[in-house]
Amino acid sequence: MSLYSRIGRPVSLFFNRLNKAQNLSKLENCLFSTQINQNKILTKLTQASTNKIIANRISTTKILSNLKNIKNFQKPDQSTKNGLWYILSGFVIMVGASYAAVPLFKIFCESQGYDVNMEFRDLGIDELKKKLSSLKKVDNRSVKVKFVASTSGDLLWRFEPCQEEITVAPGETALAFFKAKNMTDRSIIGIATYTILPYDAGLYFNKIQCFCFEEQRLDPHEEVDMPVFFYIDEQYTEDPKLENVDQICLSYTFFESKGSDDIQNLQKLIKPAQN
Amino acid sequence: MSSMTFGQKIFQPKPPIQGSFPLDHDGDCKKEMLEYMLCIKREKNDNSKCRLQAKEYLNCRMNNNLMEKRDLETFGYREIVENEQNNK
Repeated sequence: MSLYSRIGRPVSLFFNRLNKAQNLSKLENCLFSTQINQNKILTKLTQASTNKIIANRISTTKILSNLKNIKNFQKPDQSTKNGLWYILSGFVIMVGASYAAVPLFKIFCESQGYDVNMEFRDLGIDELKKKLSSLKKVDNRSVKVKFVASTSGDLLWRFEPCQEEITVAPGETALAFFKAKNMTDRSIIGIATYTILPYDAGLYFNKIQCFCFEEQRLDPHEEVDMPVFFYIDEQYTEDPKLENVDQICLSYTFFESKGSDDIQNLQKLIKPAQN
Repeated sequence: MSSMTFGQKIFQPKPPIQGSFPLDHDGDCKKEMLEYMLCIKREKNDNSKCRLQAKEYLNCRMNNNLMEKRDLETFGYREIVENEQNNK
């Protein structure tokens, strides 16, 4: 019978590992019943000597407790295993998120308009004016600025740059001209906006004075020269992203302003009065 | 923004430092402008060689009330101004 217990317990453990609960429970029941019977027989046989009784009871209780451990071993193991997996996956997710946060944050900032080079936006007008007086030309770098002019579809102006490109050094002020002609028989008010390509170079492009963002009125068939006075910041040469960027495209687009209708109405009112 | 392209760098135009040039309707500075354009064509679009003409144009604008009067040194024409003073 002790041999049976010696063999039976490891076997039951083996079955436990293979997770065959049915076999295990059956085996456990067999063992349990046999152990209980053993216990009864043992106590009956050795009633004379108390040591033997105590020893047997201790051994049987040990066997019983081991059996209980075997019986209950499965359940806490599974739940703690699950818990451990959850904790481990949570840890891996956190580490991955901290790696992913760097490019995601960059994308978020760029789409919202918060720039890495905030210094250029924070400079107020007065500071920029002070900077102008201390501008110094950078010697070993020159940048070609190309000019592109376009109009919106419904604006009947001929709008073109007077020069295709200008070679400029960073830190040097430069002047460029655009020509616009009103091809219609009515006064048109136009308003212009601009873009600089590439984006990174546009951060260093500062306009001192130009003709954009304000309404410009052109009488019928009037042609006018529009200057742009600008400079490229000296720190252009220190930007690693702009190491190979030697061409910048400055593109102006003219749109018709809604004030044109008012001007026409005014003119219509004035004409009959003059007549 | 009309099209929310996530991750695209959106160019934000900055206002000019000194504001907008008033239009030269009467052509007061046309001569200086043409001189500058001739210089540019001559020097093959090199800005550094035509700074004198650019300075003349700006002077003309200031004289005809088409531009806020400021010391031209502040526009980076310090060397040219100094050269003129030395020559005088």
